[in-house]
Amino acid sequence: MALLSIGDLDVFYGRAQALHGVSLEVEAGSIVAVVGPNGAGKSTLLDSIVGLTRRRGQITFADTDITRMSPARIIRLGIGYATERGNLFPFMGVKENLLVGAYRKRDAIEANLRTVFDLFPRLEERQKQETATQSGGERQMASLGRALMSSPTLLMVDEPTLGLAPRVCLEIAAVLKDLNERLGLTIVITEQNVNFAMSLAREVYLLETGRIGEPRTPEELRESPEIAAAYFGD
Amino acid sequence: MALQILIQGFVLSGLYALIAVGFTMIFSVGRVLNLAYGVYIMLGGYIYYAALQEAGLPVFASFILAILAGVTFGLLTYILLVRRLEDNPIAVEISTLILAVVMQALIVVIFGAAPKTMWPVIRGVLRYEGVSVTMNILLATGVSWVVLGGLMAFVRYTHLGRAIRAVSMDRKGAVISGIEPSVISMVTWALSGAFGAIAGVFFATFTQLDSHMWVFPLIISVAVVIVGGIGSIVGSLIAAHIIGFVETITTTLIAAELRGVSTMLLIILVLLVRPKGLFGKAEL
Repeated sequence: MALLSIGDLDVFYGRAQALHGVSLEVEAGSIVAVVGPNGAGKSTLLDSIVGLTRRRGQITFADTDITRMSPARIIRLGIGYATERGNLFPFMGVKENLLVGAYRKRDAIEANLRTVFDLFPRLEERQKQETATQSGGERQMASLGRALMSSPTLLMVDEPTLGLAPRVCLEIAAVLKDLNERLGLTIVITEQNVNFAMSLAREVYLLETGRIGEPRTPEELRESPEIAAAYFGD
Repeated sequence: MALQILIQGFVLSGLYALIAVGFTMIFSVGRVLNLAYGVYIMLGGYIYYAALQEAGLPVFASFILAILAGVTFGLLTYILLVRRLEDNPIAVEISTLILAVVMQALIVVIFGAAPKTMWPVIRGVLRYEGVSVTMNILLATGVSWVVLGGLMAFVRYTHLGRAIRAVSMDRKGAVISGIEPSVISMVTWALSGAFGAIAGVFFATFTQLDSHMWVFPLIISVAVVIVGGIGSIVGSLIAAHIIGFVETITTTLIAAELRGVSTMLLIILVLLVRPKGLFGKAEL
């Protein structure tokens, strides 16, 4: 049984349709990547899972139909979401940002803070620093950390490498792998960086202009001529 | 003279800070100007007056009733009006201004048009080096500091308070943290009503009760937001002191008739020189 299952999802912004009949399955314990160019609808897809858009279709998480639930209830069910720009609270310190992430999970604050600070020692060193003054990499860490503070079973990360230096990308990749292998977190990432996505995920979906394909393994993707042409430039 | 300006400046500024804080909160969290805010102040004053001086209730009970009236009216403004118009700030401003005018008429119908004099919350005058200050206004300043200190601790150290700041800084970030902005808005409007009512009791004992009394506190509140910039409580506190001291200095040294005028000029000056306010950032 899939932990997250999306069937025939349509999403609308006003009268414009952003997603067309998107279906996607995420097995518990897996890492799934959704890959596509800018504007394909990757952020819209993740926003829709947590209930931030006007949508039609069916979304099931942990055997619960969440299609019509409010974001607060969906988050409480165990989905952590690190958005593309982080949506951090700029004039709060790092630790305060993390504490807001614990708004729905107040009985595990100390343990979750420990987990986050162990994953990102830099956040612990700079826990009082306002996130407005942080580097892009630190903000990405704080954003991931805040998502982890609600003890999620599913972590969704929108473009974890966007605008980050290669060294920081590797660091983020290592953390996501660690969260998946050691803590058993199920992870969904979206990426424009196909290589990054393939280094992490065993299943990759292609999303283009609001339409999604069948899931493929990284090996299948490498052998597929259309993908090679579009993403590897040859 | 200098001592008098110093004492009166601090006392007046404390009152102004208390008046403005409820207005600033709404602006930070919802990005709307609640032009009915002065009504909470007027309502606080009138309910306190009715309870204490007409119904003969004790001071403490009258205070609680005034606060409850402020909370109720704050919540009603949000639920019946602002929540439905939230996407349109101009509609919020127009409708809250109309609400204020309607309430002014209602006050005249219920209490009559003649101004009423309120008893001071506490009696007595403190004299020091030839400067005299009423105990009542000192109490107002004290209450103002306690309320503002409490509010600062609340938004800094409690989950609910942090959630209010979170919504004011990044709504989407707050939502994906599991916060419900509509709940936060209700809490903010209730608190705003409470602060307005508390300020109203002291403001009315400082001046008098009449049906126009919502206007001046509204101007002070707008001035504090403009001078201080969006949001920061500390910024509002400093702004209230700038406004309070400028007013005290002009009324003491130039002419008492200039009360209020200096504040207006200050608003225009800051708008021209620093439109974002002196301490403007989106924080609460």
